[in-house]
Amino acid sequence: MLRHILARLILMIPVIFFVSIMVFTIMHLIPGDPAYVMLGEEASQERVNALRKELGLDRSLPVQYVSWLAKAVQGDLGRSIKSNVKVLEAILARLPVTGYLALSAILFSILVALPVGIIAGVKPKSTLDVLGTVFAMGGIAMPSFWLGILLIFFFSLHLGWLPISGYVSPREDLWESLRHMVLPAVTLGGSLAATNTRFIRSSMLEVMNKEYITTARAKGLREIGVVRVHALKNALIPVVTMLGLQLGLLFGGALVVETIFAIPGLGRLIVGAIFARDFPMVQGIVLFMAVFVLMANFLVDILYSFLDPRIRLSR
Amino acid sequence: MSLDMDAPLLSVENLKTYFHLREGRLKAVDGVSFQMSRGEILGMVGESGCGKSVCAHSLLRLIKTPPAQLSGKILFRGTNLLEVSKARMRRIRGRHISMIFQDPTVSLNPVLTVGRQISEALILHQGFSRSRAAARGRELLEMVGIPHPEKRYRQYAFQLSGGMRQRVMIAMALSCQPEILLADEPTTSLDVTIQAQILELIKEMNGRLGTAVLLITHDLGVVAGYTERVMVVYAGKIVETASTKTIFKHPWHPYTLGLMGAVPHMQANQEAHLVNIRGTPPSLIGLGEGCAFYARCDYADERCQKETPALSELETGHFVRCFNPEREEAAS
Amino acid sequence: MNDSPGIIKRYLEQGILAVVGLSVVFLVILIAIFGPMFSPFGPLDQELTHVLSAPDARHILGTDDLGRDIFARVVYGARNSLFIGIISVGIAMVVGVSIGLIAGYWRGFHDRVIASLMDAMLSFPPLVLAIAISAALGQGYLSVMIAIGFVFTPFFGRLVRGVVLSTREKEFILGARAVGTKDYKIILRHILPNIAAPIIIQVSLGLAYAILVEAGLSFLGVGLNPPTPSWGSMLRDGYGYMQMAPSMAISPGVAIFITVLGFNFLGDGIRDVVDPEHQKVFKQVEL
Repeated sequence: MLRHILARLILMIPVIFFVSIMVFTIMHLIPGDPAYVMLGEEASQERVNALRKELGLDRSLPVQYVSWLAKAVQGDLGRSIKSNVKVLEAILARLPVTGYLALSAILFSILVALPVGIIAGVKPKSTLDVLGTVFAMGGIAMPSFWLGILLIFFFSLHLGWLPISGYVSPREDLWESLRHMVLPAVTLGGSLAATNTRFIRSSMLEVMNKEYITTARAKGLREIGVVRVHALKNALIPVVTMLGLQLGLLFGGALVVETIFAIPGLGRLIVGAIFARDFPMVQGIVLFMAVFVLMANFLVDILYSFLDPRIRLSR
Repeated sequence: MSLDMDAPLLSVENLKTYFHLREGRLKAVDGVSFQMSRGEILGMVGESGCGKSVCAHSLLRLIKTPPAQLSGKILFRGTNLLEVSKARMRRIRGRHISMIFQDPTVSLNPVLTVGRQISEALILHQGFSRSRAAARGRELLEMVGIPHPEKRYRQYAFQLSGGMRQRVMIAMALSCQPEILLADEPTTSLDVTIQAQILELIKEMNGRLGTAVLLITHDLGVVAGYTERVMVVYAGKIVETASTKTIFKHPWHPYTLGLMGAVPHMQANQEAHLVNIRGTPPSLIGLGEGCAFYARCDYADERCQKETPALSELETGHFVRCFNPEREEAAS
Repeated sequence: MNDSPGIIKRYLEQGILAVVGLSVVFLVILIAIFGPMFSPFGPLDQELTHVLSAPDARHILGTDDLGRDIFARVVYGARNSLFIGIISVGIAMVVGVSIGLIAGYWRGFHDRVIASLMDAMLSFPPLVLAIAISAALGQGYLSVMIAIGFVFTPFFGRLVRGVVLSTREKEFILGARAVGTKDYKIILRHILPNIAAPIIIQVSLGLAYAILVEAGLSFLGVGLNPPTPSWGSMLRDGYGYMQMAPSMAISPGVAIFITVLGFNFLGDGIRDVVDPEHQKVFKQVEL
């Protein structure tokens, strides 16, 4: 298994390389002079020149890339043009908030998807299955921002049960924190739940049709035992990987959810940076997210290797 | 349950397994009757798709009954298995009647250890503790001829060869010393050399444990070497049944004749050619009246097309379902 | 035994999802093309006396904060969404299929490079990448289409690469090569038919996703230039007026929902028909 891990790590190198190139290119996609775009048309020539110097825009592209990369590897992602804080610091300050949101969303999606998906897979074409599938299809089609708006409309404005927006740190006030996190978590986790329900269902369905399930029944096991002992482990291993891979989607969804609910996380940070034309910040965040996702995928892959004995023991 | 030692262990009466599909009624098992005595090895031979596998699954009620419908009687030690409760049936599965399947690679759970799967039945049916079941499991592995049982016990199916996997399946099935073992084409997926080993193992277990075996196969060679009696199945019905010796000496049903003729013989002279049964097996959906073999039969007449023959005992212990059986001695 | 009518009937039943999806998609396309003819108002016409009005006989869906007819804006928005979706998915398809073919068929170095490239593209959260690109290129149709097209390319690429990899090992390909058939002929005659179905499915699902992404971009303010009607930006505007004029937010939301659902149904429906997975029903019988 160690060799497997090493092989994976080595494979990641070209990928990270490409990622860095792509991120680097973002700022250079800007038509016209990036410095002007960032500072605005009316900015003085001095300021523009100073910015160009600072960002190294006067040097040749390859040189810029290497210097940017070198600094990035050391953790220096530059400074925000607008607020002059270090990009990495800003990111790390906001990361826990987005993490809190993401975890809540995942938790919600599992709470829904697991029971519904398993039962639907074990008993296909039953009422629960049909209902579940309908909801799942609807959930996938529903844009998260619309869901969010609807939820706010209903639960906050109409019923007044939950706050419209805002964020409260769990360290300040746990109860209020949870209250404020319910709608955002459901909004973000909604489409996740839909996707996961379908995936768990089809995974279970596939497993239940396998021959070793018949063998288990031929031994006299109760259906519940068959599902619990034989089917679940086989069906859920791929689901675990799915969850890990959804991290990327979560970041995207977080952008929108944080905007709607005014949550001070990474999503709002990057949206704000985009509007402020703060491209070093944008670059930094995108790079951070991409590397984060890659790391997460890597860990998930290791987890999968560990869970599936066929991979764990064959190397 | 009665313990009359002379009464047959298993008595199947007019078993029918019909599937209700949109296209029609699929008669996989169409009125099958037979008996098994304690400790005997009974063969069931027929082409692919003739219903023999469904028959075995039906005996353990492993068929999903909304699309399927089972009727008839399956008397195991006097009790009709088609009428017992689901819970009772579960107690019989794995404990009194076990089954092994064709492809051991897919019949074993890939993420559980071999040992875990072997001891499962012991823990379930005989209340063994984990450790006691593990010990017994290792003994079983040794019994079926797997070297280094302690090591193998902890391994996974993919770490074993095909032959070993089938041995594991056998160990699993025999763990609670059932009265009957249903062996559904146990050697079809294996290499030829391994096939013989597995069959020998089954024969040995039959001798040692006294387990009756229903050996399902499409291979006449298997039948010849390892069964005492045999039933020939065609289109969901038994068309001939006799002791193995008798069937090979003088098969009477045209289909059986065809099967025999289709197998190359070492002793045959140069002129003898392989008999090809013309036509193809019929679809099991919408079978009407008349003998199912009619279209492919060289001995058929008008009556065969209109009436369905019944199984008749033309000689002691030798039953044939045919209006015009070949009653001469076949050329050997 | 006449099986043909049975098979056709079964395909129809299995494909009911695709049929429903196709109908919905067709409807949406019709509305996008012909809808504007039926709308008495233009999407940009402001009627400042009739701001935030509820649905009535004149304004079927009411008016927004600048007195514009919501129905008109939804209908014109359909045009924009579909247009952007088709172009961007088209770009993604052409580029993605090409690189997928190259990677899958010629393997080796090409494969490794392309596969790494695609993995890199896939490690970016789609919406984030789309926003960043879109923002860098400036607002407007072109940047949105390029952004979404870029983000989607690896979906096609990965799919095609996978199918090509498995197909090329099949015996008939080896046979064709053994006989000396030229590569491009093999691809054209043997490989493309095999990848056609998954591509069609991916296109349909991709359109669904593209519409969602475009709406997301517009919602965040990075998409089309206002006052161009886009479902996403309509939602953004409507967010603030939810209590006063719920139709402003609900209408575009429903439009997005139905359209995306339709494309999803279509894609899944085709997959149900084409993918042998649904033949599992027979497994029970095949014992």
